[in-house]
Amino acid sequence: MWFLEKWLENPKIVKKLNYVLYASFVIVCILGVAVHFAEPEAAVEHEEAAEHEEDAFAFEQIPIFSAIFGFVICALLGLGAKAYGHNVVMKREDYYDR
Amino acid sequence: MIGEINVVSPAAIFIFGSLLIPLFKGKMRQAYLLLIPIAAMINVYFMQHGTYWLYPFMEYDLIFGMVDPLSKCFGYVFTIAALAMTFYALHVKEAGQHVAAFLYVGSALGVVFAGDLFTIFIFWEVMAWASVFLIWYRRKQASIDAGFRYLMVHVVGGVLLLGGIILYMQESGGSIAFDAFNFASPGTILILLGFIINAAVPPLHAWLPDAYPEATITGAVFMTAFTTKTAVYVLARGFPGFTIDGIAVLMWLGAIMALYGVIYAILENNIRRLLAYHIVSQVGYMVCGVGIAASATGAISLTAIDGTVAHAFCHILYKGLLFMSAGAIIYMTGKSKLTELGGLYKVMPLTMIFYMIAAFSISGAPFFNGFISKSIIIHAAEMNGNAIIFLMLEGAAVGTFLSVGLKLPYFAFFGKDAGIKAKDPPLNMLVGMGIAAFLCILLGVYPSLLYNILPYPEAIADYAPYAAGHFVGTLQLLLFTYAGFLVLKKKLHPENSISLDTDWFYRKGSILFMWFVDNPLTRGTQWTIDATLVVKDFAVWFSRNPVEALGIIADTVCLKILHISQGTSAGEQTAKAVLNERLEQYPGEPVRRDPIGVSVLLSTLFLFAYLVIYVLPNLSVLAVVGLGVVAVFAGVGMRIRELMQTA
Repeated sequence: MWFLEKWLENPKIVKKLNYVLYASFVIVCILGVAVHFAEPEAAVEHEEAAEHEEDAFAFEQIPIFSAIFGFVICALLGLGAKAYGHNVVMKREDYYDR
Repeated sequence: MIGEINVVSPAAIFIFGSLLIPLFKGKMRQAYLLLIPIAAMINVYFMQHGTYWLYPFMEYDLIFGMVDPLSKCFGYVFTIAALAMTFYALHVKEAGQHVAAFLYVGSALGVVFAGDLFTIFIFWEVMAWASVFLIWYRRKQASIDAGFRYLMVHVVGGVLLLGGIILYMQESGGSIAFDAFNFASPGTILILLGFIINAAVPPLHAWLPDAYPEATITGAVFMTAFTTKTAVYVLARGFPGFTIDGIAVLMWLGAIMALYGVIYAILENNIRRLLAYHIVSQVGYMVCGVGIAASATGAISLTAIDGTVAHAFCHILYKGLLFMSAGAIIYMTGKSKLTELGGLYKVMPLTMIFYMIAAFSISGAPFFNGFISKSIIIHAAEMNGNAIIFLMLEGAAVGTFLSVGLKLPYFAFFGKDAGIKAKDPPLNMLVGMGIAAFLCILLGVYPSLLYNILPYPEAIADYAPYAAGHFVGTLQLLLFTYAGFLVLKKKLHPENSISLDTDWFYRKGSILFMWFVDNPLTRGTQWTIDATLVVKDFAVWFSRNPVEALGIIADTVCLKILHISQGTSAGEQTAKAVLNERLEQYPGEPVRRDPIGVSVLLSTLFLFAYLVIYVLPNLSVLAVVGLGVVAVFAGVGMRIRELMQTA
């Protein structure tokens, strides 16, 4: 994997890769909005399929619901799990041997 | 043409095939090992739907071949996974490990094609006993201990299952048919408990993350596929309509399970234990799928079962691949903790690629197989209107990508370079990983390959995983999980620690139990033994010369009384010396009384017996005791007098 090594060891390219990443964050949000507003048109064309496609829950009407949900849950899970671990269940590795 | 081919049970191929493994050596053995899963795969392909291979047992028929789309689907994936895993394990020299693995696979296939509860129970037990050797073969103390804990949990599960089967037979009037149990009764609940122990449903799940990381490198790969997935199979067949008081318990248990595994995985440092918690989490989706089927009706119910089976199929492939990659890391570097790994992408690039394919699959990234299977279950929850279940499952998907897709690869393959010298694993391991990786992508790109062999293909005929909304939504979910990871990277650093789980109760509980056995219980038993021994010793001593012994005892008592009443005196000293001499010489010559003395003694005794028989019933207890005391006092007094006189 010579190219990967070359890329990840080079700060300039890492910086560019980061820009690609940030751009992709924006692009998926735009795509989400686009899909949200494009769907009604598709619904006219294939009525049966559209009925199937229709989102079941109100919160799914938010175009970038998945993005917000992913970020919030990631933060909640990460911080919540660590807090739970540090306060309740995490012990030294030799806990059961002592 | 299909009808002309005679098939044999794939379980029999593995089980009888495994017994011949030790007969082969070297390349021949490797060829033979690969032949068995291939033969079994061909057999599964040609097995026709129906019920066959009936063997009479007592007054029942054991059914070894109940074949329908559901069992066949599991049969396919079990044999395919066994082939990939056998490739991965081909370098292992020890025949015993292969025998244990094949017995394990064979019994799992036995459960899948079993048509009655007895057959299921038999294979269920073989599965537990065969798989424990895959743990023990690692030969570390930690593995041996974990193996015993694993076995004990599964024995409990087996007993619950057997108890449930017997109760169910009573309830159903002697039926042992393995059908859907759609009613709650003591029998079906016990059977369910036996099944969900193997499915690792919290709080009965702790055996899985406890044991799998301690298994051998190749053994753990086998174990990921079969125990939990046979449990999913029996749940999907036996409990797709099971509710207690109208609540689909499996739906809630499954959703909790999916999140539970994710939370513990975030805390975990050992790479295989982290992945083991994700088995709990992923099987949670499947258990939840069975539960959704129970809470819904019609097409939604069928969709949920399809989703469960599809996810089990895909899960076996990507989870096997994850454990293969993690095993390759441990095999080549000797390290299993995230805190000790880092920068491996430079030295193990192929392992990294295979790992990432599996990680994207389990995270449900588009074009990988998790995307097309997990989404069916979530889709079923959506159709059924279970908003909370939907959010819990989506949340677990976020956590899965966070741990398996980001944290583990970041700290093992990228991140800070730990400077480990290693290289990619041997070719056979790479081939095994390659087969699994190829299938992960193939099914992701051509979902219809899988959808067509599901139990109810017509139920999901309209389902399109690559619909624009779902596709973009998934990308958003994953990318913004990545964003969250970037923000939290410092907080999520792996730590050198272990996390207590429900096994704490039996691991610490057993210490308490052993203390109870070692202290109060042992002392209690020891006391009775000691007391019995004292009585025995006395009886032996006494029987050597009863007359002399009685005299010694009486004199000892008299001397004590004399001492108490008179204090130390010369007479006492002499008497003591005489007594000690008697004790030393004991038993000495048995004293022989002259014949007249004996007859006088005997007649006195008989007269006394008459007295007791005729007089005593008329006396009160108090009087008898009084008489006895007077007699003893008189005797002791006379003896003391004698002793004083001799002095």
